[in-house]
Amino acid sequence: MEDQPGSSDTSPEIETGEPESGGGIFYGWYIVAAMFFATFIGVGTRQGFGVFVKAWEDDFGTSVGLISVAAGIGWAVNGLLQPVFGRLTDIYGGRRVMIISITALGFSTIAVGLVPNVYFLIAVYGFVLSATAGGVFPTPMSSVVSRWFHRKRGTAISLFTAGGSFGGMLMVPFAAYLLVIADWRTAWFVMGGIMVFLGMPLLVAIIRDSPSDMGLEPDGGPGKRETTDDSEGRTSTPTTIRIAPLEAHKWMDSFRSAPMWQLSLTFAVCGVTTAMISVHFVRWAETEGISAGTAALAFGVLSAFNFMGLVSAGWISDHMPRKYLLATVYWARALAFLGLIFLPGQMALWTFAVLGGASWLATLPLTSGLTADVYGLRNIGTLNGLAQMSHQVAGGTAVVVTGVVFAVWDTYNPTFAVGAVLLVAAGFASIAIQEHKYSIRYQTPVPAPPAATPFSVSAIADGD
Amino acid sequence: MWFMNAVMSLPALLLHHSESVDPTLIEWIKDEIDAIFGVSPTMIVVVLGAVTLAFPIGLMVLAMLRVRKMRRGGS
Repeated sequence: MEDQPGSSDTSPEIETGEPESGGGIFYGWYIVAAMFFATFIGVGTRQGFGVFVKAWEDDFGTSVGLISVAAGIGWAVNGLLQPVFGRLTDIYGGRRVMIISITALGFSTIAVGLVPNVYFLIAVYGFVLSATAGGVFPTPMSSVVSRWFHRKRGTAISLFTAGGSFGGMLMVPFAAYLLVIADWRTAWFVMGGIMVFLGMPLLVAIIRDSPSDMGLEPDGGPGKRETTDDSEGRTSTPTTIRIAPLEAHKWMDSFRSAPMWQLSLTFAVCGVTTAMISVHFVRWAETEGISAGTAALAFGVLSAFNFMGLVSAGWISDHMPRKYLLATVYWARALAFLGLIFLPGQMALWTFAVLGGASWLATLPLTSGLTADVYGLRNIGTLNGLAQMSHQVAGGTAVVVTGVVFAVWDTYNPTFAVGAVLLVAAGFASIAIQEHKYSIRYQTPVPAPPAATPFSVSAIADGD
Repeated sequence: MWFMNAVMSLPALLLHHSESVDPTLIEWIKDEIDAIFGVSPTMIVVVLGAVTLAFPIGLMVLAMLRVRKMRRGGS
């Protein structure tokens, strides 16, 4: 296990001295930018599915319901395979997993443009495309970024995640206008071509599994450990290390400690509450007498606040205990849900757009960052994948339950109330995480053993 | 009966999932883009395509320059 490429960069984290003090932008940020683009095209293309429903209805002579099966299966397949891609990342390294996956994703996107009927659409989109998308975002990316960044982990994860928000803003209109000037097959060929001819070469050229692959250290710490002193007199010799108390050789051992359950279950609540709103927001607005266009505008506002909340949460979490921010995010979303129940229609709509939007994706950098902080890097892919799976499975279930409840009672209030209760509980569960006890950020540095492998470890600065 | 109706409506509900943009939302976005810019769909595709093309190419160039600088001992 220790010799496998993906697991070479494990805790303990070594303190090597002062960070890189010049010489340009740290290479890790290029990796974040490349991941941003891969997320942009990957998530953007999947979100564009809804653009083509009408065209498929006409072309295939089928129902919206049958086309929707492809989206539903795709959601399930993508979620269930996250731990698999996480494990593959731990074993083979995120670079290989992402490159192979984006290539397969590109060709399966092109293949969607070739499907002759709705059943092939279900097979290609629901199974192949959605499965390969899981190998690109978010699990392998979070794992690789966690190796490149320790002090700025939250910021880095939030920035590449924002690629998904931009993907929705640009790739979806791009697909919609491609459909106007050409046809749906051409649109899928173009989107697949972007992945194969731009996304894949970009990942090949830029992504590296860990800073040690380039003679660097996390967060831009001084590289070239073989050189004791560089030209500016900085030493790169590790002096102290911090060890994550809960880091285990086997990923299953992580579930013997409370934080893994707290992180997975709270992330499942995140999945429940975002999925039920994504699916039912416009329909809820219509029940409140709000026009679909206004609801769509509010959802657009929500997306803008989502971007701001995401990036802010990532940055702030690098400067304070992540658990407090995670709890705040869940409680803010709980308030938004209560607003949907108790506030009048228009006020509830805009309150939710702001409060719900700001908390929409902010949980991802906080949960992934905290998982890496507490459990180290050895099994981070698998652990992130399991948390992601809990998010997706719980979200898919919530969509179905919300639909059934609405069909029975003709109101969303019972499910929104359950969502609010779950969010309050998730906030308390987050607060209860013993971050100071278990996070590597708060461990007391100890002298580094002489046998410590220089680039199997990573730098973390004092005071974080 | 209500249960059958609910089950029958599920696939349609799934259509609105976050993994797939809401058709109402994309129609609204298209209308807004048309109203604000008033340009042809072809021009919008060209502009968005150019942005999509420029980002990875520019990034690759910058990363290559960075790596070259690092190899020369710049970092």
